[in-house]
Amino acid sequence: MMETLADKLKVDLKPKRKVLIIIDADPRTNPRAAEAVRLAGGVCVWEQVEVNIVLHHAAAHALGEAAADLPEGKMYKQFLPMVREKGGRVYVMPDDQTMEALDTEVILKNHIKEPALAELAAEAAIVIRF
Amino acid sequence: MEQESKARKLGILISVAPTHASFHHGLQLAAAALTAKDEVYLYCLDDAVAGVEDQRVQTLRGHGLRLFACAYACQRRKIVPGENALYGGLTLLNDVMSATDRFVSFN
Repeated sequence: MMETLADKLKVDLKPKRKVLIIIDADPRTNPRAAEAVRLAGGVCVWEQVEVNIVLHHAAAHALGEAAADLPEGKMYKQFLPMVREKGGRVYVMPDDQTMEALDTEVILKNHIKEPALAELAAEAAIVIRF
Repeated sequence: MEQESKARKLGILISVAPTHASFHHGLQLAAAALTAKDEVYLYCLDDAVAGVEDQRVQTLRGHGLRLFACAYACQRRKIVPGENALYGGLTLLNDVMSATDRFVSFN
């Protein structure tokens, strides 16, 4: 059946499926952290699902001041802003050591605690952990 | 009353190498779902692209598994895409995530 202009203008009221990507991999040593971030950016750009990221413990280095110097550093610079542009959040849950490498502003704006993470995971239709 | 006959759709993401236990677990889930007459969509990402030609994967494909693999991951590993899977970008994974009833990942 041919799609009419009215069909095209219809607002899609169906809520987007929520995807939570939790990254544990240390971006200083493990390329899987960059792959997870690439996945998040490459999926959210199509706007069919809502993507949020949690950078857990050492993974929070991906938002550190030296992120560009990490292996695959360009991935973090390219895809983390893309997730935010599409309405997603990039949270951090740094351990004590990683916290020292992060700007205070980054922590204040993006920090998430365990109960809130549990809530995010419960709300998500898809949870992917790297 | 008419019975609902529409098959359920299961999406599976695997990103670990074929030697990893999680790869095997992902395939076991795919096999169980295919046995239950579900439609199963498997996307191989990262190290899992090395498993596309794996006999276990191809056997499942012979039983109806829809098999996709990340073209970028293949390029980085110098794996030449063949005809035993559909190779593409993350748009394929996005489609699997958004169009399936359930989605599970093995990383």
